[in-house]
Amino acid sequence: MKKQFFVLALLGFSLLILAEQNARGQSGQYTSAYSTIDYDAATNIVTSYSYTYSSYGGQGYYQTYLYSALYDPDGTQLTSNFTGGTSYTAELNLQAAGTGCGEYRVFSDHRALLSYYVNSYYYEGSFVSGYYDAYNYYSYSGQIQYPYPNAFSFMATTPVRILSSSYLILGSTEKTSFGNCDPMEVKPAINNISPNKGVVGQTTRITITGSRFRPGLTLDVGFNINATIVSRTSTQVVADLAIAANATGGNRSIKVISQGTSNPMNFFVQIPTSLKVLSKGAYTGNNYLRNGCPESMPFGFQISVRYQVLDQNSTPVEIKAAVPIKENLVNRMTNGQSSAPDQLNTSVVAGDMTESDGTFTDKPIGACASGMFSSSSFTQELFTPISNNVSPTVKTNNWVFTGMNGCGNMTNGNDISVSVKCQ
Amino acid sequence: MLFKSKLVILFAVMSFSVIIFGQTRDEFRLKYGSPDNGVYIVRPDIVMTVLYSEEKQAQEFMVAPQSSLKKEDTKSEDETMSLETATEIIDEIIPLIQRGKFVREMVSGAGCSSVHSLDYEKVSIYLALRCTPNEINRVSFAKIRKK
Repeated sequence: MKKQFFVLALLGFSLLILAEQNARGQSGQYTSAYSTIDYDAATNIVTSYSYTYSSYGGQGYYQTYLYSALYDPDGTQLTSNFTGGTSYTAELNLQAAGTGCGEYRVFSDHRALLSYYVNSYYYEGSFVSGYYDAYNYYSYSGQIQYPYPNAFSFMATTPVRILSSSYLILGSTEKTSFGNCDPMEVKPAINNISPNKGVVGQTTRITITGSRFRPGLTLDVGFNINATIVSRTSTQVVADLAIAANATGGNRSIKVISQGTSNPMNFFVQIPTSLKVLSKGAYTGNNYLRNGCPESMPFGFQISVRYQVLDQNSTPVEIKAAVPIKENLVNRMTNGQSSAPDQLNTSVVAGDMTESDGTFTDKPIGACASGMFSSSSFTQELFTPISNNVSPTVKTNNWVFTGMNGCGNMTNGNDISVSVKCQ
Repeated sequence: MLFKSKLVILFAVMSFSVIIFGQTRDEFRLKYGSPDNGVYIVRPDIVMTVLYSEEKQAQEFMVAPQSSLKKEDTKSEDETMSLETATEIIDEIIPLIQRGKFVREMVSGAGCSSVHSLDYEKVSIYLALRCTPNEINRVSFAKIRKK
């Protein structure tokens, strides 16, 4: 009897010790609305699963069982949700707050069409294949990549009894059972920007092509440029770049920002700085009789010059009304006397627009009079009013006439000289 | 007697000159109303400024759209006036008969800007023209200057 009591006491003491040890164990529990997971807090290894029982669809439908188990070796909080409906679909969302890659194992009681999705933005889901294991469970497993948080889910599109999903390792860059798990690139990437240049004072619509362009992205375009996103797909962003009139010229690094910053891509801010003379000749307008002068003012002559606007890299610049080429016509002299008031800051071409290649014809240039005159000259300053503080002169023509009786020569003292033949 | 006749002729010429260029502030006020800071409104949205000589005689007239005076440049058709309107106002200020002998008409300019000048014996008239997309010239300002 004493011996029996001793054995029982020893057993009880041992149980107390075990209980104490268990009480000191590093265990934890994760619960959600649909599952309860016990895990070892030190190793994050799941020790037991509970499951959520759901019955959907009523009679004739399969009952769907869900066992879920999640753990994260990095200690990232994982969540588990089960959603279902009155249809044949059931969804298991295994969501991670972090990003990275890992692997999955899912078991169901029979073969079903099971697919997984990586993020809700890109449909990168595909049907996953599996096999019947030794327990006659259908086993699905594979490697996954997690480019975005809360983005991975399984979806059964036929009735299925999912027994468990487990071994989901997230946020890991280490090897998995399926080999090296290279982390999926998360940051957006730019492949091209078109057009890759724009003129100060104007708004340029650009198309950025690349990858991983997610909703809510922003553009880093630098100082004095305002970007407005017009449209977005995962591989293309269309944006309007409003380049301030006083924006600094030259290359800007444009970047896409969305869960990281993309590689930079150059966008060149153009400032019209020069006019290239393409052609020049006597002007003969439709309403004029001789050398560009009207019948009532036959003395003198007029010429026309075709220019192309170039930027600081000598690249053609299309001028739009927002940033016109302007001119000052000053110091008009006829017969040695001031002959007309100055005209300041006036348009060079009607509508303040050039052709798309930056070309325009400045016409007519010259003077016509009803009576003879011996000399005539004026200065034409062509400039770009890109800001209140900066107005770079793109060309100065100091026009001088020689021979004023309907023919003669007209020169700007530099690169333009036109001879007008007598009629 | 001869001296008296010369005086009469001289007085007549001087009077005629006063009629032409001797318009005073009062006469402009009578025609166009009181000036606002020296600016007369000669048409809706078209104003005229007058420079006077030390003898308080009108020397130079500048006619321009009111909006264009607030800025240095002219950017839109709203800041110009039609050639017909400008000519009408100029004829009001200085009728053809008062300009003296016609000397020369001249147009000089470049590109979209030109000045049409009408040179008379007693006055020079300048019309600063600006082209438009429909190829009809409009007037940025008109200037009348006494010689």
